[in-house]
Amino acid sequence: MLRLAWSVLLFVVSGLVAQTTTAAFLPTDGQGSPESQSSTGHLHSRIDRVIEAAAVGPLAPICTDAEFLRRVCLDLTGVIPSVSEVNAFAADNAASKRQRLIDQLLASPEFIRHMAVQLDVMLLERRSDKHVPEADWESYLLNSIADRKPLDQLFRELIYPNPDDQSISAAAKFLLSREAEPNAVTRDIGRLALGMDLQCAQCHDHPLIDEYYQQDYFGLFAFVQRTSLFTDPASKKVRLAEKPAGEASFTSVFTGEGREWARPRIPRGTSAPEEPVFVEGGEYQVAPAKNVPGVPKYSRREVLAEMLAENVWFQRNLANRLWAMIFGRGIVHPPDVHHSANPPSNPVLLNLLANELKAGDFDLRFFLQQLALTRAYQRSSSAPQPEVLNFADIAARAERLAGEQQLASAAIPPLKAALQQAQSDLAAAVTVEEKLRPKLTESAKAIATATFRQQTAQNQSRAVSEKLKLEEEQLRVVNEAIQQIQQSVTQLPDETVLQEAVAVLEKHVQSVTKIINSTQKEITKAQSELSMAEMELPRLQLLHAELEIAAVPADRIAELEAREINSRIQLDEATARLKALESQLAVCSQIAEFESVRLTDPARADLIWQDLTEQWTITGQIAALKPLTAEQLAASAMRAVGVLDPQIASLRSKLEKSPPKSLMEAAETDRDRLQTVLLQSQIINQLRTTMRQFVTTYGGLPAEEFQATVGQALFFGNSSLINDWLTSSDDRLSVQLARCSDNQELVRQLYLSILSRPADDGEQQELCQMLSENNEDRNQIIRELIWALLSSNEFRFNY
Amino acid sequence: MKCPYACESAEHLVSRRSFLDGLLTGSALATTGLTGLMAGLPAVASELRSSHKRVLNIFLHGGVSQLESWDPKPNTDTGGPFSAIATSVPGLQICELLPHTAKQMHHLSVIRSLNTKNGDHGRGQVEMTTGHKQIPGTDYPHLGAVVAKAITPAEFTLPGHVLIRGAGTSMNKAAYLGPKFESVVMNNGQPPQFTERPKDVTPEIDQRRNALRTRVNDRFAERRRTADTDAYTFSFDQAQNLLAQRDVFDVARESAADQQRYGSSEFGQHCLLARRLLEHDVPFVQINHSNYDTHFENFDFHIEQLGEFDLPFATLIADLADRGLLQDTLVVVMSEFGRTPKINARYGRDHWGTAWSVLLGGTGVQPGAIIGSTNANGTAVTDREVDHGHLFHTILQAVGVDSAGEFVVGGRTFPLADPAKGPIQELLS
Repeated sequence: MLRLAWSVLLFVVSGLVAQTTTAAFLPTDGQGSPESQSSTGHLHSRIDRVIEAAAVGPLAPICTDAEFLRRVCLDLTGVIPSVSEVNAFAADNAASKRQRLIDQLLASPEFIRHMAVQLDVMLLERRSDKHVPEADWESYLLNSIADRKPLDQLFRELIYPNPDDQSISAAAKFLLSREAEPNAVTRDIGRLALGMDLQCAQCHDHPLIDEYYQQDYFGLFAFVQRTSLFTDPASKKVRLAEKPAGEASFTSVFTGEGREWARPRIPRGTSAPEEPVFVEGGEYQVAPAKNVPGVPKYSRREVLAEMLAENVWFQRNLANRLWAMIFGRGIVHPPDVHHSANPPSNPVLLNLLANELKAGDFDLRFFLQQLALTRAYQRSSSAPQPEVLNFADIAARAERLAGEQQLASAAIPPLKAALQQAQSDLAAAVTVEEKLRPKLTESAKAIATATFRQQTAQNQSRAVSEKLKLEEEQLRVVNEAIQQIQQSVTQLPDETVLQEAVAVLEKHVQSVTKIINSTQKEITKAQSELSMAEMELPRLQLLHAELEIAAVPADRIAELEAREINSRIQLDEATARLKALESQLAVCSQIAEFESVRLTDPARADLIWQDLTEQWTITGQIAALKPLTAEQLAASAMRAVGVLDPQIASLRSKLEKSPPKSLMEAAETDRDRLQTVLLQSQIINQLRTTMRQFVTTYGGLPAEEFQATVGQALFFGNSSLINDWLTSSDDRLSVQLARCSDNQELVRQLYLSILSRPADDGEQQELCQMLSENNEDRNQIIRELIWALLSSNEFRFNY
Repeated sequence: MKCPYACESAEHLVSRRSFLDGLLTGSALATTGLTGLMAGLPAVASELRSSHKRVLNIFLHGGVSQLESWDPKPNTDTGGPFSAIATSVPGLQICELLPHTAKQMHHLSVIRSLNTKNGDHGRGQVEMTTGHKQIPGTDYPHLGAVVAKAITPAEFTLPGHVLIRGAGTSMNKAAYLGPKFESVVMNNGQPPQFTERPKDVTPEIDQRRNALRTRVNDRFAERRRTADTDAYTFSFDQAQNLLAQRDVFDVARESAADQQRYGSSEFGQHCLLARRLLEHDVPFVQINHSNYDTHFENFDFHIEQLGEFDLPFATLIADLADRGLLQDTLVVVMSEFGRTPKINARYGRDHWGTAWSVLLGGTGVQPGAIIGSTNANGTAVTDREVDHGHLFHTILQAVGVDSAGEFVVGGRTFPLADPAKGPIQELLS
């Protein structure tokens, strides 16, 4: 633990000494269990404790201030720092300056833009612009980040953009850009929200991954299959529509087996709660019509969206993707292949991150802040030297690990048996459920409809009886009147008027009687309908009760499902723990092998050392070299040569001089935020063409394999775009450097502008000599210098 | 624990090797190795000759009529006005519109029993060139990308996947195989993008600034060197090598006699260019020839289109055979689908994926074979029904690639071809 304390100390004082530090790599001793070390303190310290407890081999020293500044600017704002930022950070002597910088960057408008771009790439994966204008989509993302929208809410909106909320209508692009095609949507919700690419399980159980089943695919599919595209016939605008019914079923193309009815269930998670039953014809909140997309009262897609935040795979996937964004590689890699044969490199770490992401209400800034504060993030990326290793320590460690491995290995068989039991129990229940559930739903609907009919008949019969009462009263009064007048007729037989009156009234009696007769018929009819409904209802109820007796109760299924999920998680964790121990042991034996061939076979030793270095990078002991994304590369090159900041300044001043109406009309309190979002949206738009060219050339999907292509090198060497950046016009770097009569100053500015650090003595000397010896056009030499630095590995990578 | 970056892939293998060999394939090339390459290009090319197989895919856009090409049915209700002619293979007849090709059929084989169950242009293009059924939400790599990744040697400088087409911007996508294997496009036969230095960057300037880049990289390598940094360094060296060989893309360098033999038509020039690229070992070349979508006047259009196709194609096959290139090169002629046996009211034929043909020849396949057959008037496959999936496997197997294998890209595993299908074994030699 003493050694650990050294590195903590080193971290604390790094703000003061890091610039000149040549701190050595620190060996690890791996004492104490990681679980016990992760329970208290700030998240970033807990992350470090977990990483360091699992570390076998060296821990790299904390990187220099200049390295840290470039790294964190690229990661949080997508672009290298400006020369003034480099100078200011170097001049700052405060011990807390790194933390302050992180907070500043997280609060900056550039963070909003960078994250909007990252999310756009992650969610749409460079799909062509369709159905929702890209500016609207970008504004939606910019606003979401500016408003600190929790990420679970963001995903909820993407999967179910509530049709009643116009402010988030652009979120529908996530589904619309996939044409709301249920297979495409199933695959991408699986990949992007749950970290599981179930594509190959669409037609059969996954051929390569034992744990991805066809029923997983269709469980997810069942949530989205009722959704489709709706095109407004007049405006041609495309929106989402959803139906209230439709069930999934499947058959394996290999075995011919399948399910007649697939429960809507998050893969390896919980099922949707039982669906409410609606009367036939009463299923829609907004009924579909020629020019109106249907909105059902109960949306399965909405249910899925609501279920996500509580799902452990969602939490792990999101934590893993954010980690990969900052550290260059997921703890599970690739990020959409979470399963036990591809375990997290550090399972305790992934659990910690997933839990804390949720505990922190899925707040993006808090999470990234904690990641950036870790020692793991702030370590040097330089390769370690073999001298840092204490071979005796490693051998002792290996012995301890072998003991732990045996224990971990012994823990697995009972967990495997428990999972198998839980799986077969659930499968048995589901087989019954699958047969009965569609019938139960149908019969529940029939009961609801019959009940509705019975009530209608009852109401009708009641209303008609009321009417009859009134009519009979009318008849009674008229008959009384007739009797009275007839008395008068016997008294005054000559008054013909009275006789005429009797005749009129008697005629009236006839018509009222007719009405009464028809009303009585109505009553008979209503009563017969009622009695029919009353007869049918018990029959339906009986049928339903019989089905229910045969069915597995919903809470029983939920219980079996919970048991299966828990068994799976326990087995997964135990397996991951074992694999992690095996990896640590493998590192130990690789180190031993290195030692044994070090003197006899230096080439082999070198190769082993390279492998070890890459593994220490994955385990967070050494910082990674991360290739810049196409956007980071473009923006950084533009900033370095001096074409980025003038464009941004010009957009800003234009916006300030002639603000658009929306900004003028905004409430005072909202104006700043609105202006920020507007400006960032305009910057994205302004840079679009350049970014597209870089993306086409360099590729640009998250977790894509790094590829350096001839095409890229040709583009960088020969395209007019890059060459124009080097020419001497306006306020470009080439012009600024040409103004430096002093070669020392020229080299200094060159390095600060492009590599975000001062040139070291050797570099100074070499370039100054080159400049002074050269008889060629000085401007030409400057262009060559700028190009050479821009095309260097140091510029291409975030190190 | 698995090696942290995919050791299986060629680009990483070269990086790994360069770790061992110091700077041999890396920065030294830019300063010293280059001049040798620049001076002795033909020698270098012949040294590299036959180091790997090649594929030429000729894609007849719009859907060529199998009845007017590889599966004629003269004197039937569906046969149309043309007759069938004998070819250099006894017993194999093709349409009279292809008299020159007929003389080369002993190098080629016909598959007459394709049933791809599709009549949509977009889907047909995707399915025929990826060997997979189109599935929403999934992109598969083009044949060119798969071949380029499977057979391009790590040290190879020229692009592995070239598309020669008329003007336009379309590409053959590499999907999950990554930008490295996307097609390099030669629009109208023009050199690929960015293969000309800007006018103010002379070769000397370029060499100087690259030498400077190398020194900057060498410094950085002292602190950290990875497969990725090596690959990035290597890409710039490759670019310099490619610029030195830029003539490979210039069809005007071919002799006047050859220019005349291939003719001045766009397709003729593209065939000559393809020969040039194949001679320089480019692993995958595709020529697109448009347009065969003959809903009207099918017969006039095929006279015109196949008239343009026949002589340059036959010349190319003869040349590839004469020069020994056919031993290592597989030639494929495909479309998105065929055309209906039924002749419509406008003398046209419509889209038809039910019973149609493709042509294959060269390395790895039997010459002069006929695979499968259709019924008397071509309305159905009667024997050996196959589809795009089988064809894709067959093409890969023919050039020595195990089509049942898998690629590992960025930690993910992808089958090379549809695992539910396999090659047409009897066609393979």
